[in-house]
Amino acid sequence: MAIPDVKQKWSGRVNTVTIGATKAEGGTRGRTVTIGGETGIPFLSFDGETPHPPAIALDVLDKAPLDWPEPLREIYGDVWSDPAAWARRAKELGADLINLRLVSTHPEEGDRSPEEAADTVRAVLEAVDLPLVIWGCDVPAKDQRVMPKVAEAAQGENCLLGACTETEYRTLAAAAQAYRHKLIALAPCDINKQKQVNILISDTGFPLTDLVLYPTTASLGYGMEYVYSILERGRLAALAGDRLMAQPVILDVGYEAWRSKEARIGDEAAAAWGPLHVRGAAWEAVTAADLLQGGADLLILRHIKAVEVVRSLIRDLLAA
Amino acid sequence: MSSFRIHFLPDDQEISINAGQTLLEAARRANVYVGAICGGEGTCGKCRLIVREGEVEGESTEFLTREEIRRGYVLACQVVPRSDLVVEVPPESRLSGYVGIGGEDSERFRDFTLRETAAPAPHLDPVVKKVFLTLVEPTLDDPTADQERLLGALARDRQTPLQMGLKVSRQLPCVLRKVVRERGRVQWSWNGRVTATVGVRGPVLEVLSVEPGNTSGRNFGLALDIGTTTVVAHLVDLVRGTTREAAAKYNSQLTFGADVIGRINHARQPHGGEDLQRAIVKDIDTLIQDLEQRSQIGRGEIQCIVAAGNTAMLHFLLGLEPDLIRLSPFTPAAACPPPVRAAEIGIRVNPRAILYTLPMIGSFVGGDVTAGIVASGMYLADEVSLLIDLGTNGEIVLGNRDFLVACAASAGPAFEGGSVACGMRAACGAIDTVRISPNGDRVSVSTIDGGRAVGICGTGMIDALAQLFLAGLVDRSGRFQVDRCPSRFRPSSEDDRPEFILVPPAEAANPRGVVITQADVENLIRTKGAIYAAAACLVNSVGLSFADIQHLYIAGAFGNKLDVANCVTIGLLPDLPRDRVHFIGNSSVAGAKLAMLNEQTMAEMYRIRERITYEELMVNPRYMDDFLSACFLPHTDLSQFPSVPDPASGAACPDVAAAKSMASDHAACKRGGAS
Repeated sequence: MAIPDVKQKWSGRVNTVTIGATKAEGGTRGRTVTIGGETGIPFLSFDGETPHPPAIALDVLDKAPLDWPEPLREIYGDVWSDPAAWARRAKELGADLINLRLVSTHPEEGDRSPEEAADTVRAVLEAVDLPLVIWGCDVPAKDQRVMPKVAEAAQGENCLLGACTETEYRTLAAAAQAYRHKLIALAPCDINKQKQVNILISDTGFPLTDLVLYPTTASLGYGMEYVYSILERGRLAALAGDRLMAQPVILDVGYEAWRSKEARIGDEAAAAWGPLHVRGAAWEAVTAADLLQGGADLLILRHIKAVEVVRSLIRDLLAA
Repeated sequence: MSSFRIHFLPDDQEISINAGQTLLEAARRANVYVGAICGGEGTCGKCRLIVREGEVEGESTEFLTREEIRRGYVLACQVVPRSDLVVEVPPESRLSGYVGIGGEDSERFRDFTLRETAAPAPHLDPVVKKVFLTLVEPTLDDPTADQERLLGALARDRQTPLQMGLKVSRQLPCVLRKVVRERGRVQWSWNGRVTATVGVRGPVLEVLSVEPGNTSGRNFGLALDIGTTTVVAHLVDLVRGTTREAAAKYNSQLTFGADVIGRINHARQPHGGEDLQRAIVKDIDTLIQDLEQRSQIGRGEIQCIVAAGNTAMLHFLLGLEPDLIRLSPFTPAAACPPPVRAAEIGIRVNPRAILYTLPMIGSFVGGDVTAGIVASGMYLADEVSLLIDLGTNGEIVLGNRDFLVACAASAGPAFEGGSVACGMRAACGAIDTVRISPNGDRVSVSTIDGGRAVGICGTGMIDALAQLFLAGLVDRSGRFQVDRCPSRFRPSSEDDRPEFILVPPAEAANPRGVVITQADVENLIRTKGAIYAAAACLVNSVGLSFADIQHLYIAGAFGNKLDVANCVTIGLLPDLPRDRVHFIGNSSVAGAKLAMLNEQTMAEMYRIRERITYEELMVNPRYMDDFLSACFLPHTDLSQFPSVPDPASGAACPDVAAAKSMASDHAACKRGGAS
C-alpha cells in the first residue's frame, strides 16, 4: 500500500525582518541578521522552507548582574562591569546579535539618565559590529524617556527595540519610526492580545512588517507547555494567512532558564541532579530546543554551552 | 430602643427609624427612591445623600471626595443617624418614579405597532373572552340545571372542555333570573340574558364569572413586561384589540440589587423573597392605579394579566424558589407555571382575573424572549433572523421557521447605567446623544428631556464611546489618548487614571459634572464584547455567519434613539447592511399583548419553548476566545467591520519629522504625568 502524501501546503508565510544595517545601508554593522520567512511548520522541510535559520542573541547588561550563578560568572565575570567588553566577549562566543538590557536605568537599579543610556548604546555599537536588540528597564514612565534617546543614539543602525505593550506603545513606536528601527510587540501568552497590540502599533503608522512578536517565555518545568501551545497556535495562524500573526518571534530563553531553581541551586544537589556547571546550561539548552519546535526565530541565550547545543540542533534539524 | 425621625428632601417624606438602621433602610421604608445598584453593600457608591441637618456616623468610603464629604455627602447604606435628620436626595441618586411620561419616551413605551417586524396582525381571539348568551327558559320538558344549561350553550361551538368553579355555580341562578323577595316570599322570573367570562386554563376553558345582561363590549387585559430595571404595563381592550393606555416605572426591586444575581442573593435572606414579591406587586398596583386614572377604566374590569419577564423576575413575581437559577446546572423551579388567579399573589384587579406568565426557555432566557420571538415574527419566516435583546442580561435568538437557538450573554448593567461612574437609567436628565468633533475639542450632548445633564444612559454611553473612538480620543483598546485634547481630560477621583469630561460641572445638574472614566470605557467594551461574542458563537454553532442573517432585530427600551452606525463602530452589533437592522422596541410587552389577544399565539409560545435549543455559552470553548477578540474597537478581526472607518489618527506618523517631534512630545507629556 502506498503511503499517503501528507504534505501540507500553507497559504501564509512568516514575514522576514532584517536587523542591523551595514555601511551601504546607512549603518556601521559588519553584517545584518535576517529572521523569519518560513513557509511551513518548524523543521518540516517537506512542508515548507526555512530560508533563515533561527538566530541567537547573547545577553549583555549595562551593569554587573548580582544574581547570575557561577557557571555564567565563569564566562562573563571578568567583563560584565563593562558593557562594551561584555559585548566583545559575546561576539567571540559566536553571538549573531547582542541583546543589550539597559537595566541600570531602572529607578531602583541606579536610575541612570537617558543620556547615560544613550552613551552605553554608543559604546556597544563601537565595540562590536553585530546588530543590536535593545530593551529598557521595564518601568514604562522611565522607558518613555530613555528609549527615544536610545533610538536617536542608534539612528541608522536598524536595531530591534523592546518592547511595546497594550498600554505602552506610542512613544516607542514613534521613536522606532523616527529613527528607523524595528520593534518588539509584547503580549503575554494571548493571541488575541497579541493581535490587538499589533493593530495598536500599526494604527500609529508603524508597519506590521517591521515587528517581531514576543509572546513571553517560560522555561522547562515552569509552564513551558502553555507558552509552547501559544507559540504553535500563533505560528499556525501565520501559516494559515493571518497577517496579524505573521511576524517572526523572539524568545528570552536565557533569562527564564537561569531563573529556575534547577539552573541555580549549587552542587549540594549534585547527587540527585548532577553538577551545576552541566545542569544550568542543559536547562537553558533544553528549554530552547523545545520552544524552537513551536516556532521561534530569535533566541536570547546566556551560556556558551547552550549556544553550541542549540546551534548544532538547528543545523541538524534543518539538514534532515 | 431610641428612634430618629428622618426627613427626606425634596420629596418631603418623613419616617421614623430605630437607631442602628441605615439611611438606605429609612429611604426604602419612606418609599423614597435612592439608587443602590449593589443593594446596600457599600460597593457601588450610587446611594449618595446630602445631610442638611443633624448628625450621622458611619464608615469612611472611597466613593466620596474630601470636598463632597465637607459638603455633607454620605452613602446612604453606610451611615446611621445619631440625631433626627434632614437629608436631601441629590439628582444623581434619584430614580424618578415614571419613565418620562410625555414626549418621545412615552411613545417608546406605549408603541404597540411593530412596524418593522414580520409578526402577523393577530386575529382577535383573546385568552379571556366574554360571551353573551340568551339561554332558553327551563321547562318541565327541559329542566336542565342552570350550570349545565350554560356550559351546554358555551360548548356548542367549541371543542375545548369547559369547567366552572363552585363560586360561579352559586351565583348563576340569581344571574339568570330576576329575584324579588317580598314578605318572606321569593319570586323568580327568568331573564336568561347572561355574559360569561371564559378564560383559557391549560387544556380547558374556565368560566371565570357570569354577569346578567350583555357586558361583552367591555373586556380588558393588562400586558406586563417585568424587566430587571423597568416595569411596563399596557392596558389592552380585548374587544377591539387596541392598547388603551400605557405606563412604566422603575422596578422597585432595584433597591435590593441592580441585577438578577444581586436580587437572588437578597431572596436567600429571611423574608427576602417576600420583599421582592411585595415590591413588584406594589409596582404593578401603582401602574394599574395610573392606568385607571388616565383611561377611566376601573381595575375591576381587568379580566386577565399576561406577564413577560426574565426567568428570575417571573420567579420573584410568583414566589417561586429563585436560588437554583444562579447555581449550576441552572435549573429554574418552573418553566411553564400554570395560570393562577391574580388575586392569589395580591394583584388587585377583577378578583376572578387570571394571571398568565409566558413560558420560559431556561434560567437565563426567560418569557420575555419567548415574547420577543413571537413579536419579531422570526419563527414564521423562511429567512434566518437574529434577535438581540440588549438588557442587563443580553439574550440572543437565532433561527427561522425550521429552527431556533438561543443563548444568554451576561452583559452586565452598563447599558442601563449600572457600574458606570455617571451612569443612570434612561430618565430625565440622562444624556442619550453624544457628538464629538473629529479633532476632539467640541463635544455636544443632548438629554432625554432636553434639560441639564444629570448623568448618562446606555445609548449615551454607546454614542460616547463611538465618538471618542472616531475622534481618536481612545485607541482601539479603549485607552484614553489624553494628548489628543488635554483640556477635555482631568485626573479621576476614583483612581489615578484620566477621565473624559463630557459635561463640565458648571453646565451639569450635578456637582461632579458628567464624566466618562477609563473604567467606564473598559466596562462598556466588556459589555459589548460579551454580546457580540455570544451572537458570533450562536451563529457559528449552527454553521452560519453574520452574512447569512437577513434580519437583525434589536429589542430593548432603547427605542429609536440607538444609533446603528455607532453600535457597529464600537462592535456591539455585526456590520450588516443597515436595511437588515430593525428596532422593535419593547418586544417583551408586545409579545405579551399578542399572546393575550390570541389564544393560538399563546399556545404557539409553548410550542416555541418546546422546540428552541438553548446553547450554554459557559461550556462553549469558543466563547472565551471570541469574547477576548471582541474586547477591542471594533474587533480584533477588523475584516468583520469593513464599514467602520479608521479613527482620526493623531497617532499616525506620516513622516519622520512628525514622528520625531511626537517622540519628544510623548516623552514630555509622560514626564508631566498627564497619562
